[in-house]
Amino acid sequence: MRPQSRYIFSLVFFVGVLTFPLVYGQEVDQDQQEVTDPMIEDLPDSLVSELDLGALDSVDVDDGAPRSYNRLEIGFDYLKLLTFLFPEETKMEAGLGFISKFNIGINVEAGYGEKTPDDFYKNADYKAYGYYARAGLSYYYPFNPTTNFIIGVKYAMSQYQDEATFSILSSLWDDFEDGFKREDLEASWVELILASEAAKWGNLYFGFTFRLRFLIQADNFEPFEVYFIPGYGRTFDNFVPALNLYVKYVIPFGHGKGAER
Amino acid sequence: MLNLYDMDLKGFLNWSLFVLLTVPLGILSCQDCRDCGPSTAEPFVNFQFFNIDSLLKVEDTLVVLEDSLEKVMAGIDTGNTDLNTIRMELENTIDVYEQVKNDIENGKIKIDEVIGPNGEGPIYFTDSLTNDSLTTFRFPLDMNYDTCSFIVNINGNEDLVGVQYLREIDYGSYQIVVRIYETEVIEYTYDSAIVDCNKTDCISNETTIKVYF
Repeated sequence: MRPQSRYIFSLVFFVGVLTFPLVYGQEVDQDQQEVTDPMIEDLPDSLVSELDLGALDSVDVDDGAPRSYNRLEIGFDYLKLLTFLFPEETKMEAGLGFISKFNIGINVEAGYGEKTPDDFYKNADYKAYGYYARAGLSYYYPFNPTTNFIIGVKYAMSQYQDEATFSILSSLWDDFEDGFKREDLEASWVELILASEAAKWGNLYFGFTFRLRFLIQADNFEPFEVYFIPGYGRTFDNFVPALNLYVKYVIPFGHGKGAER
Repeated sequence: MLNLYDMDLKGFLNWSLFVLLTVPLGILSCQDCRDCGPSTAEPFVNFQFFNIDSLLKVEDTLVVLEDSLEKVMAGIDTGNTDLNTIRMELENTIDVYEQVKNDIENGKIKIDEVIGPNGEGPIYFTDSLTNDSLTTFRFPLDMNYDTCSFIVNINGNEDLVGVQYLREIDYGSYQIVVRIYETEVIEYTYDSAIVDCNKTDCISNETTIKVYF
């Protein structure tokens, strides 16, 4: 497939995955509305005034107050699992976090990335692969009891290697074949993140993270450049946007408002 | 992880739409590269062959034919009209020889085959349309070594010409190739072989070796 077509498909793919959690988030909000509004609206006005509305406190409603409990979260990027369907790349990523009752979180994420592009060089089999890890701080703004907006900054490092073999056919002599393997390469970058997540089933959250990555340093070479840095992406620019779709399980602990869900 | 039975209809439709949109597009975007594979862009050097021995013979013959034609024309001028037939035959023969002379001067020749000194090949050169002679021949250079030799068979006669050069891998963009430059002739069994390149670095594909025999 030509690169132009690939970009179009990638764009459509990006729009597709971006709209999914947004629609999904709206759905969660509507579920929340269904708990509160119809219960009162369906009753005669005369009875509403006589009801003990305090009984509804047991229902988890949005009172606008921030959650004030410590919690651990563990999750993985399910969008990356789709790469197992494709021959060109393999990615996986999981994360662990501690969020204090002040909604400040410490997050650690680690992953593996492997890319074997077929549009890098026509006559080369190229592969870049390696591991990466990120750590940083995030602030969780509780938009409502089931939805968080998150902003944060992270520092990331990657250890990777790449290798290539290439061949040129000859009509008279032996074909020319050569290649290389470059190991122990390192890169580091900083990420600004914006995220949104919503609880769907109990403490199971679905969300997306939009990342802006700023490359600090990366081992690279001329003229055969490193094509891909695991965790960072393509090396053609020192600034790369990215999107993650994740699911995570949140484990509240300690005592505080909203800890019992 | 995802229990579809717990979803409401809208959630299910959203999820279905997501899967229907993204998975096929993702698969389509990862089809194999159509023109990927080993490159056939091997480096070469151009050869031209000039059969000087034949050229001299043709020129000698032309001198004789033209002398004969001069004498015939003189006879016709004296009124001997019987010589007109001979004049026409001579003119036709001279035209044929002139054409042969031009072909030789332009290096037009038919090579039977080219092989390597260890039996590599052979490769053949013919005009793809007329199966006729050519004036320039692209001999592929050995990308694995700094020298190579060719055994050229013309009209059943085998001769050898060897070249030496510098190699460099050019990663360029999209295709990796081997660039060869500073091409020189190091051996030959012909009368002479001269490297003719317009640029100082004698890049292989732009270099012509003129062989005289």
